[in-house]
Amino acid sequence: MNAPDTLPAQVPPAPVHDRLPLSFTGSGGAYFRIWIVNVLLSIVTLGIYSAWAKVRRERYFLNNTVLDRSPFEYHADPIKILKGRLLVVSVLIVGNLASKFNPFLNLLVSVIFLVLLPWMISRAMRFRAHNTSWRGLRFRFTGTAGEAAKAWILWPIAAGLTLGILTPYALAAQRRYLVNHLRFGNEDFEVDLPVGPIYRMLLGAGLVFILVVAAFAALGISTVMFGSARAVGPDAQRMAVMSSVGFVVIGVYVGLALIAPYISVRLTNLVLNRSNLGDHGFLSQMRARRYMFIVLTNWLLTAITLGLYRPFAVVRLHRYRVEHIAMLPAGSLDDFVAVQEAEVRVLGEEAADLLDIDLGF
Amino acid sequence: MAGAAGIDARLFDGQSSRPVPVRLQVAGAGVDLLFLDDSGRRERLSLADLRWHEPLGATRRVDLPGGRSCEVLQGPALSAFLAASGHRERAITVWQGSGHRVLIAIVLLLLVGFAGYRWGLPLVARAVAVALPQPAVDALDGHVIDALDKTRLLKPTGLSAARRAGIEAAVAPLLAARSRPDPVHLHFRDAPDIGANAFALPGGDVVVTDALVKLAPDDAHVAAVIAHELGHVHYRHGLRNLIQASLLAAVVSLWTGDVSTLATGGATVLLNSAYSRDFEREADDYGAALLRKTGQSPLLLADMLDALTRQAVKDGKIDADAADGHWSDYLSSHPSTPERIERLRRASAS
Repeated sequence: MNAPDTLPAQVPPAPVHDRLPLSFTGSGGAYFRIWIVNVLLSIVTLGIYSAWAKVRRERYFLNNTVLDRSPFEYHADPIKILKGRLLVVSVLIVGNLASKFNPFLNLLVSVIFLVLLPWMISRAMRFRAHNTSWRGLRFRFTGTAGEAAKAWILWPIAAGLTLGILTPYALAAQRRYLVNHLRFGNEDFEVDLPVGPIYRMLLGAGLVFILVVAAFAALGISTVMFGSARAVGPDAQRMAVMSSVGFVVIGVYVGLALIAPYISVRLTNLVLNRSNLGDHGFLSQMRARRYMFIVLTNWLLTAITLGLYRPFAVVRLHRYRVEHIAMLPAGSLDDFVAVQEAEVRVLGEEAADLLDIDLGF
Repeated sequence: MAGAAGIDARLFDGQSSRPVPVRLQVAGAGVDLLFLDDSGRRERLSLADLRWHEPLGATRRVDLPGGRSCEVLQGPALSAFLAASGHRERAITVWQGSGHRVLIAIVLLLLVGFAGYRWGLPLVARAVAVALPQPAVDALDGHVIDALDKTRLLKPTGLSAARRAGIEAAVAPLLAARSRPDPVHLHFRDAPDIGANAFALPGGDVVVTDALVKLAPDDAHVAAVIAHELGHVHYRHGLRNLIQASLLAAVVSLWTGDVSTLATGGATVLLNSAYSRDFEREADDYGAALLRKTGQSPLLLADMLDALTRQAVKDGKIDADAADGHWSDYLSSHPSTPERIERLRRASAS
């Protein structure tokens, strides 16, 4: 029998830290191996394997995300995911085809998806939380579709009617919904989220966006001026107008590409720094500029390598996020207790997943 | 017990987040679970009770009976324990662990991707297009033509009723000579933005522009172009294109993931244009065969292609390089006109 001195430092109770950083133990190379096998098997099986691939991807990221020496775990059943996926994909295909046959159906399909959005969000959160665990205890999510409808439909409509002035209220309502209904064991997550900082954040982002679009518009207009000096006839003029519109469109794309990561970072920092789980607090110290740099270089490298850099890109971004988040424990993390709960269905999660609905977690 | 492999672990009972230090010890055909806390308990488990999760992180998880689980640090000690307990890894774990097997996966992926693009996608699109019932296909075009009429793209025709009747009469034998009588409606429209052209809609209706009719020396030439369009209808090219484009967009966006939709759209158009070139050749061959069947020469179509290309160059729709079939042909949806005319000449000679 081995000597007891080979025991890992597990026997003494974990000391109470003032800060417990999350760490990520994975690497781009290791994930690349998992990813390439996942992609190959998904293609060879005509997509059937993608359900197993998803489970293995989630497991890789959660298993390598470590808090207080314990990794997170993912428990979803691939068969259930496959069934959900098949249903959602067939609905998407039918909806997509129907909209091509008839433009009115197109509108109808959009309206149906908009109506289903809150339901999908609540189900997706429920499924994710239920299938994520830490130290043998599962997370839970108790938000309802009705409450999600307020945050994702009513508030955005109000924001639209006020020409965007109420947007921070919508963002705050969405984050509150996602955090305040999350539970771990017997403890609740809570966030105290004022709109003031969100206003400041959005104003900054808006300013950057306007500057970028204006720069591109100026570029477009100068091209038109230069072009029309020698071009004559209505055709040439129309071309000039088209090209300047094209510049503005590209400007909007670049502007959005820049402010989306900025908002993501600022909002995550804001929400986590004002969240708590029971008496335990959180700390998130991501830097917007660094994060934007990672996102943009990831895009560039993924495009250059025709997609092969993608697993490295995903790991790089995930690592940055994880390693800038820490828990501020009020005491030992050994005292969470399980609470009984019912089984959770997969459908909303798959719908949200396939429609690329970003819940920001 | 001396010499038997053992490993330390943290046990979680599924009821609380408190870790319990334990030791797993291979013992004969089973495993002993020794509690290293004050209780000093010990349990006998069979190997089948231990459900090892895929090794993905720095710690590996094993599920035990009763909703309990253990976290074990990865390393040589765990490997020795697993070897001693007779645990066999799943094939997927072995594949990922080996460098040259991963390389094989990459090569296979490239082969499958190429084969899928070259043969798989057209096959699937054709199967779906053929499987679609005719009424559904017919319904498609009613909406498309209505939608097009509402835009400024298509305007009411300026052709006289007599001219239209003449063309309809020239087309009638072609329609009758087809092997499969798909319903085809001819639509005459004035379309200054499109220029001299004819196109088949996904559902099988054919639109002919006034400019094309004016460009043609006689009705037989217009009918020859329509013979080509009937090829598109016969093979359901429009529908297949629609399905292919949708499938391709889905695959490209799956592959590139979070890369912007703009890049995805561009890549899809580029990849999909090659299919259209195959379709054009197929439609040319069909049109030529139809013309010969009705006792006409495929050269009628060749003449029209030549005239259409020269008109397009004159209108500034395409440049002369593209018309001659230079490299830009790779990006264009049609094969180069000289190539097509040469093909039709051969068809008329044989």
